[in-house]
Amino acid sequence: MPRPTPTSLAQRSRDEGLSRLRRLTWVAGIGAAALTAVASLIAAETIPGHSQAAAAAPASSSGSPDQSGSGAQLPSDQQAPANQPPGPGGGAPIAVSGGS
Amino acid sequence: MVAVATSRALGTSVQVAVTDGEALGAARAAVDEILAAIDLAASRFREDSDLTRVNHADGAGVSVSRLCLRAVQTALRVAVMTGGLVDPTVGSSLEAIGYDRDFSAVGDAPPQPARAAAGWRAVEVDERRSTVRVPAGVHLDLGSSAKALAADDAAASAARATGCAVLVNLGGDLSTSGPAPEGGWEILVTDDHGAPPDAPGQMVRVRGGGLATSSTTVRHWTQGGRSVHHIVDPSTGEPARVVWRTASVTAATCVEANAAATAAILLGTRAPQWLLEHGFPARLVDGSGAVQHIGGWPSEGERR
Repeated sequence: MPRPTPTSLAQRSRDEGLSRLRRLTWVAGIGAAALTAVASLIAAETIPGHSQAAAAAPASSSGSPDQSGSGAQLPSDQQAPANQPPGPGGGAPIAVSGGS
Repeated sequence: MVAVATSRALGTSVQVAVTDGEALGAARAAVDEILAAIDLAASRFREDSDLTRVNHADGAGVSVSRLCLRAVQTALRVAVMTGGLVDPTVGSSLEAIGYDRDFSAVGDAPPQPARAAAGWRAVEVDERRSTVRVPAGVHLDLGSSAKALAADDAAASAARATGCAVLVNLGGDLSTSGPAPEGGWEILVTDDHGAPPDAPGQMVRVRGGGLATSSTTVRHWTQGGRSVHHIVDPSTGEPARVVWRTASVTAATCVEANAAATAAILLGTRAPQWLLEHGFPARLVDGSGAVQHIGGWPSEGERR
């Protein structure tokens, strides 16, 4: 059985190191993807919806970028339905919506 | 079985409807608490309100309650949403045309030059310190957005307190919370929130979110002999030219519905396109009484 030379020992050591690095890279990639998915799920559950108005509205100072003509929907404290048209009515009204 | 209670607050009528009659008292208590808080935070006519302190601070920053801060932020977001059409700095404009006291005390106002609004960008809000600052001479009017915010908050609070569905109607601006009664809440949409149930208008059913109506037909007075109303164009300080006398809008919240309805009055002939582009179902009534239904708003149920 031939004795391992210093060169072959060094090559084996390098190959093993590269192999460990590849495994580590793969595990890190999977972990990052999983964390991204978890963060996305949490965000989807806790933030009602994206709003240009919310992003643009001044929170701590004046002089926000020009928003003329934006027309974004407002954020809400509670989960709110999308803009739904009313249905046709016909019974006795519970309430009256008019100018005040 | 829907139970309803009526009262008055914020200078207008208050209606609370619940799907569980036994919960009506608790719902009213929850609503009253919200309305008292918003009045103290955002009234333009109370000497002890946060808003009055901001308006009369001669340009200094004023420490305000979290609710006042939220009401100002909501008004600023409404301004952004409407491209600056619905602007909280019209307080000074309203004063110039005579609306400088509780509406019940507004009479014929002396003629004065119109005063364009300073614009919402003049308002400085420091959320961390809970302060609001406006330049000296600039007065905020949170009127419609604060009332709509109160309706949204009150409906949500009452629904949490009672566990049943709640509708809160503040002077014609409605917010709902919780699962609606079967078929939806039956609403008469008309020019005046004080109209009787058989008044001309349209019957609709709302299943959730908010419904608000802005109109030039109710809150109007005279100034130097000319008729003026409270929906002011911030760029001129003058009442909006009446293309639509009444605009009703549904949206996810009463705040959004109110903002879009007020914007529609100000936009005039451009309102139908704007409402369509921004996904707001609406009913518009022009000066002659002709009605347009926009964005899926039903045409059935109109009555004259």
